[in-house]
Amino acid sequence: MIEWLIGIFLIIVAVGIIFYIISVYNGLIQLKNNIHKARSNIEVLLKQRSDELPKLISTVKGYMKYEKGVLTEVTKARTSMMNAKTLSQKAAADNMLSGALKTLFAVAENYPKLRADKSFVQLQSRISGLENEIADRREFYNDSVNNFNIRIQSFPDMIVAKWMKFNKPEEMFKASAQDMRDVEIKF
Amino acid sequence: MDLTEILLYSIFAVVGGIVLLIFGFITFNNKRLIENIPTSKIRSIAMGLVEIFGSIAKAHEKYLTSPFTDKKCVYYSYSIEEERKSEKSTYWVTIKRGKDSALFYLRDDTGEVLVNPEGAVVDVPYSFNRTGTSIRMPKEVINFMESNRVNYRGFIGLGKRMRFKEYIVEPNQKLYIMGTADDNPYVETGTSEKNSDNVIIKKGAHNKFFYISNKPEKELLKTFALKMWLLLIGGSLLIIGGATYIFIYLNII
Repeated sequence: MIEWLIGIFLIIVAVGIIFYIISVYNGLIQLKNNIHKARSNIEVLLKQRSDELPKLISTVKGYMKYEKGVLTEVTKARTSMMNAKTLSQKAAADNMLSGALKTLFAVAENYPKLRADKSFVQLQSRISGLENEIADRREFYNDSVNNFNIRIQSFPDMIVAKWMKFNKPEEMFKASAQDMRDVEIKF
Repeated sequence: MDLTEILLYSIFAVVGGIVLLIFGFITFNNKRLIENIPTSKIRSIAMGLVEIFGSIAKAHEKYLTSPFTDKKCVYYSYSIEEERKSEKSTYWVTIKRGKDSALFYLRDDTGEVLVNPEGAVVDVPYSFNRTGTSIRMPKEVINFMESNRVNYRGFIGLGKRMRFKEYIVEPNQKLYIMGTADDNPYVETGTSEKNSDNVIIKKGAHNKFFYISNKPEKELLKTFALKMWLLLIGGSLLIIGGATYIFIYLNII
């Protein structure tokens, strides 16, 4: 009788293992898709912000004639963003553009007429909103990557991950030291 | 109890065990889903399956009133059960149940988003749970039964033994929500600058998982883990027990 009980127990365990493998595999696919989706969601916002910049520059350049350096840095940062290929380059260009925009909005405080311009106020609010959303989505992306990287390095999921060739950790949305040097800006 | 009756119970045990195992695996998948998706900030919410955490800011139009406690809420569900007696035992029969929900805004430190709780699994504690003689219940409960034509008086007008349960989601309550972010049908496309104004959280057409709870994520995961292990272990034991007896009956062992 004990052999039968062991047999039933082993069948349940085998079914459990099969379901577990299927579930881990589906979970890893889902985590991968989450990362790709989160990355696309950042890129949509980066594009939207880049599209707003020519309007911003044409609005402010009439008022800020003596601040060409600041405007040049914004343009340069935008170009870096457009040319960025890797995730690290995009993160570095994003940092550079955020810094340049922060300086531009700080300098704009010295121009009361500009601050009273409706289209400038609208653009500033829109771009600041996009900046905040980009920061949130960067954090969300990095959380998604972190979830995936932890899962593929944890036991027992790492066995399935290795078997399915999912064992390569994903890259965070973070500028590498090299890319940071490439886009360094001085005011 | 004769042997055939025991055999019948054994078959039920095996079938029930398989059902419990299936629910155990579903719970495992849902637990993984919650673990896999990071919490979104409301202002930067993206379309698709999302997880958010915040408190109820306001109702979209107007609040509901809960049936037994007469409180302002955005969701309620209730059940009324009656105790009945047979020759062998006493048992409970549900004589009325219902639920209703209103659209509401959930707020975190970055913004607000509209939520339609219809179709969600709402995991909140009781707001009212009482068993006793029907005519001795609070007046709100009596009023509700009268207006809904629930027969709560027994023989010669005496009360019946009844059980009342109510669950509500109240204003300012902190909520964990996992649902699908979709286009907000109440806002015309392109009319709002804020991303979160254009979004509504609801039950998805493709991804049906829609969960609302008052527990924080960590506590929720513990609950899911406990439920999962109970279902898996319970299911396995039922299958082993049931199958053993079936084999004995059939003289296989």
